[in-house]
Amino acid sequence: MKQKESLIYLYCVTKRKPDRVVIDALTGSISAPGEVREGMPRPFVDEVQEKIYPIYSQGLYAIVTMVSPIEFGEEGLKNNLANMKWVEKNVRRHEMVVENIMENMTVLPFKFGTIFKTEDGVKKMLAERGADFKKTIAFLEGKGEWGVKIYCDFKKFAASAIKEDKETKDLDEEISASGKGKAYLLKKKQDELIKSVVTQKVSGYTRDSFERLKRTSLEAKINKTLPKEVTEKDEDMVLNAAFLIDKNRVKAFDDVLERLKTEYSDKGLVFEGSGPWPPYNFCLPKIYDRRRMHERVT
Amino acid sequence: MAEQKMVHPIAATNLADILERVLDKGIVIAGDIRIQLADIDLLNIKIRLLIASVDKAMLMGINWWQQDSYLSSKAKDSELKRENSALKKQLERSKTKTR
Repeated sequence: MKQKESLIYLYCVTKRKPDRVVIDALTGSISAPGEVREGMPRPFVDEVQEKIYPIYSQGLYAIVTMVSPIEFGEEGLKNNLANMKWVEKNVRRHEMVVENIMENMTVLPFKFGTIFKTEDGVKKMLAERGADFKKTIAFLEGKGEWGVKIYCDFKKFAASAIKEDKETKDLDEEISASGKGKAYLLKKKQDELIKSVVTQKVSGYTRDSFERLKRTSLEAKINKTLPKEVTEKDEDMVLNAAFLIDKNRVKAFDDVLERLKTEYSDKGLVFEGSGPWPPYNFCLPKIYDRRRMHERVT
Repeated sequence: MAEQKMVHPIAATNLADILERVLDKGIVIAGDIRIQLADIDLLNIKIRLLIASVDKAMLMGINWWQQDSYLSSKAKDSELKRENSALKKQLERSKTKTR
């Protein structure tokens, strides 16, 4: 059977040429023979040399690696996306490569699974989009993305919220003084009340936290909160935010986060900060459109 | 209390943090092979939840950011809809006038 040509997987685009040493080290770390688990595709190092290298065109470097068409071709990729182990390995690899490049220069991170058939395809894409990419890279220079997630244990939160809320406390007394039927209705009323108190308080706290963190940032974005099945945490996520921070302001940002952790820890909120990330949340041109729109509105 | 510092991405044990960014964010271009995660039937349940789950905080009513077009694409959409229907009305009015 004729062997299919290898494909080209794109990680990120940079303006400066990445250091040869960094590139070689990365190639070494991804082509190290890994363990083969059951249900996992076999490594393709025999068929395709998974070498990371830059493709230059139009004053930009596309950081790519060759990948197997069996593993990353349309059919293979669809099947592999059902396999969490494969996804985890490859998503972590994507992140690792982009982060290593990012240590020395500004990067434009691409979404997982950006695949080309030929180097010419990559060059053509750089020719078409290069002007945008250069503008975005210039804008991102000297900045980093940081993430803050806030989690809430609703049970604990409700318990402490009741203590502070006079209306629910009054209901408590009324319930214990009432007969069965009335107590049931009052309890239902109280549950509704607690729910609205909790929602109101969590909204207030997360909004305050976000606003204070935002003040140290250049751009801020709120993403969808993720369900427990994905986060694998006991608490529910109540805020999922990303911030674009000037390198000189990271300390200020971190200070605000530490203060928030202290202030809100006894209120039942858990803060988690992470970064610096490649600017996944701030590399799309629509960010600029949205800002322009915002300026027009305000 | 143990001091919890910033988690460095590579060291992040929380896979969700990485999945969320690498699978759902970043520059999207039409490469030679296109995968639309949302359209893949075989998609792993975790990824499906990641890209298409119902927003728990929003269900709880914690949705203060939904009104801000700068923060939320949904708000932007509704803003566009409002603008659109206002323009339509304007068009209707001018049509009536010229009649």
